[in-house]
Amino acid sequence: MSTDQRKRELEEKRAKLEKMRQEKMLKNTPTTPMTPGFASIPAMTLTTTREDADPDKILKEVGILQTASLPATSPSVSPGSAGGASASASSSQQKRRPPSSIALQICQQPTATISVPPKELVTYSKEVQTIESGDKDPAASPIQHEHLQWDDEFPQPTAGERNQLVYVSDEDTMSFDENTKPSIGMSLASVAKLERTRSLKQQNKQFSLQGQSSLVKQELTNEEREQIQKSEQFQDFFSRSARIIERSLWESPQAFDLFKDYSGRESDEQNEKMDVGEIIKFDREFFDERWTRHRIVTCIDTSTYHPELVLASYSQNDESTHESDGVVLIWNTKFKSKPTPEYVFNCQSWVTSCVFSKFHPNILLGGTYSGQIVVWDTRTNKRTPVQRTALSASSHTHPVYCLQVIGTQNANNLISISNEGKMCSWNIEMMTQPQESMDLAYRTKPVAATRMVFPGVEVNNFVIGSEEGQAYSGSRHGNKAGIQDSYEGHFGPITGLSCHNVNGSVDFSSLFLTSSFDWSVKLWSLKESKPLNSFEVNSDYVTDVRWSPVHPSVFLTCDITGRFDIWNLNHDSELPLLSTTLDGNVALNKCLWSHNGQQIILGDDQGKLRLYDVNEFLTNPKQDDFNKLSSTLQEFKRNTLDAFDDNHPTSVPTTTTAATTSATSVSHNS
Amino acid sequence: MSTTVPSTQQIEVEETIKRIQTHKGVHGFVIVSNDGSFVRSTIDNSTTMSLTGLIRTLSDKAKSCVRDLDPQNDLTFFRIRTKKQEILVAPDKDYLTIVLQANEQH
Repeated sequence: MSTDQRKRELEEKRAKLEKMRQEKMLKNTPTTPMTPGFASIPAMTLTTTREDADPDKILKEVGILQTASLPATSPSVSPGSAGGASASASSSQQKRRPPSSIALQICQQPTATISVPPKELVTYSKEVQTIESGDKDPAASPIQHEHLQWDDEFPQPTAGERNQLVYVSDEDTMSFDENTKPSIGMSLASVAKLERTRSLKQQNKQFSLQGQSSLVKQELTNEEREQIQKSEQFQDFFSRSARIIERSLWESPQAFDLFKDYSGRESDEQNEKMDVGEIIKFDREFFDERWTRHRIVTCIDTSTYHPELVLASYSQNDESTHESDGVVLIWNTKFKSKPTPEYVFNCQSWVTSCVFSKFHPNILLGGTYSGQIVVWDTRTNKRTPVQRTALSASSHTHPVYCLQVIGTQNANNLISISNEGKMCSWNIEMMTQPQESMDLAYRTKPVAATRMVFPGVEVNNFVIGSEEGQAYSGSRHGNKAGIQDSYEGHFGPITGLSCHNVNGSVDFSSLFLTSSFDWSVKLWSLKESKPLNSFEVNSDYVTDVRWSPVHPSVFLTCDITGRFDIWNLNHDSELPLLSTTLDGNVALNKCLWSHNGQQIILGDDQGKLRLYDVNEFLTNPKQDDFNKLSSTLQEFKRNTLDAFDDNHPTSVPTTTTAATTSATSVSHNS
Repeated sequence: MSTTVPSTQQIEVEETIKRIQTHKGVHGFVIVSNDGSFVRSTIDNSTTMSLTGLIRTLSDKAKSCVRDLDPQNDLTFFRIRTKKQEILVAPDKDYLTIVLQANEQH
């Protein structure tokens, strides 16, 4: 729109206005007889009947030249004046409403002429502020982006643009002041424009920066980081990732050999092979400063699914009371230097016994001092038990000293005994209450059971070691459910019980070993009430005994002086094959063979598990080892007979003869 | 989840990170989320940024490689053996762990 054109238009409009004014004058005289009075008080007229007021007059009163004001406001002025003339209103009906407010301002103007410009300033800066407030957080409102893009297309400010801006501010009901003081309006508009463009530029810049950064990296605040680290998702990820990293870090010495370059230098490969004469070789120890220090190893087990995993339970820590009492750790014997356990599990009461569920790779079971049985699951990211039994009279109320999973893959049970003389059988899926519970009593006398074993794959018959020193055998079902036989020989509580479990040409499943506080280890047959042999080489409490799972005549004992012995009955029945005493005043509490019999694990009273590799000749029995053991057993029987004959030369009790016959039958079988 | 559980886990996380960090030769430990922002880092920001940017692309590439070979397969871990150091990377669903370990000096 050129200025000439506009001028012409304005001229036209001015003429039209003049015409209208004249019409108005004509109309006013006949309709209002009060005109003289009306005219005498012009101020009142202005405030009350605004529509009839002559804008030009008012303008003049205010001291503004009509010509100067008109160019910018022509669209708003014309409807305003037309509003007064009701006759001409038909064509501009729609335009009437907005101008009414403008007219209102016109009236106010004379009273507050000076105060308007500053007010105007405030309003303008308000608009700027809205942009700036959006500036701070451009991503927060999508409208801002639209605004931004729309404004972005604008060219540099021109005269036309300036006009448009003024028009925009018109809508903000500031038209009058702009019209009357165009210079101020213009400058304000340009200032606003400038500021706006500047802020928009900043906004743009920020936006583009943000867009860039979202591609490269987003800086997180500390709170955000903390939030992420607290999320379960992160915890889950971390436990997984940290395990991998730690394993690969600690086990890298082995991996390093892969990259070793031997071409330039002499090979310094160590001879990892065991010497022929060496029976055992120290492998590593498992110890954790936080979890196992000042705790006694109470139970050890190995996984059937993952033979390299060792489960160990620990007693409560008397030195520090704020740590949880019950600790069960899973260690990995494959790793030679990784110092941390694979898994840590806790519970409130200290764990007296623990086993891997034989038929489920992820389930761990623990018997506690309080009598509860707890279930942990390695699939969850939790250390606390996923299930626990209720403390009720129907289950255990005393420490659960032994757990064993019996049965098959499809039908299995957990059997637990506590030393108030109770045996419970549980379904691992449903631990709320025992499926079965049986009071252990021998001739009405309750049995304080400390150890229990179901020999082989047996689900009915079991052997129990008691605090009184007797061993008992019994069955869970049948006519005579409960304890049937007793084996008397020990003078102290039985600490270890192990049933012979090597399948071979001869069946030795009736054999079992017991260790006791009376410094002795005794060999028994289920068929005889007297021990076959007693091994008395220890000079303190013997704490555990274990048959080798692969060699028929080999077993392992340990005592509280830190001594552990490997016996081979075929080699010598009087003295152990190997006797080792650990340094450092440790007391061994538990021992175990790995499933393949190639490693032994010893648990002590200082929270350490020691791992030893066992020489091949103890892991690969020869065929005649079974026959040899049979003859050894016969020899034992002859000795006991002789001893008995020496003590009672006159009478030969029936039990002894029975023993002799059973022994001969065994040898016949071979 | 109760309020006490995450706090103990938090301690656990800190302990593990400390343990990894103090392992012989380890001179950097970084956890990055998959959108590129690092959650934890024990090295300076600029190094972390360049490292994570490069490792992430490499990890993504390796992942797609593994998946292309066998759609049921997924990348779990890789280590880059270099003359000076070893970079251990454990990618996961939402995060990525990077550990820098200097080679043993002979």
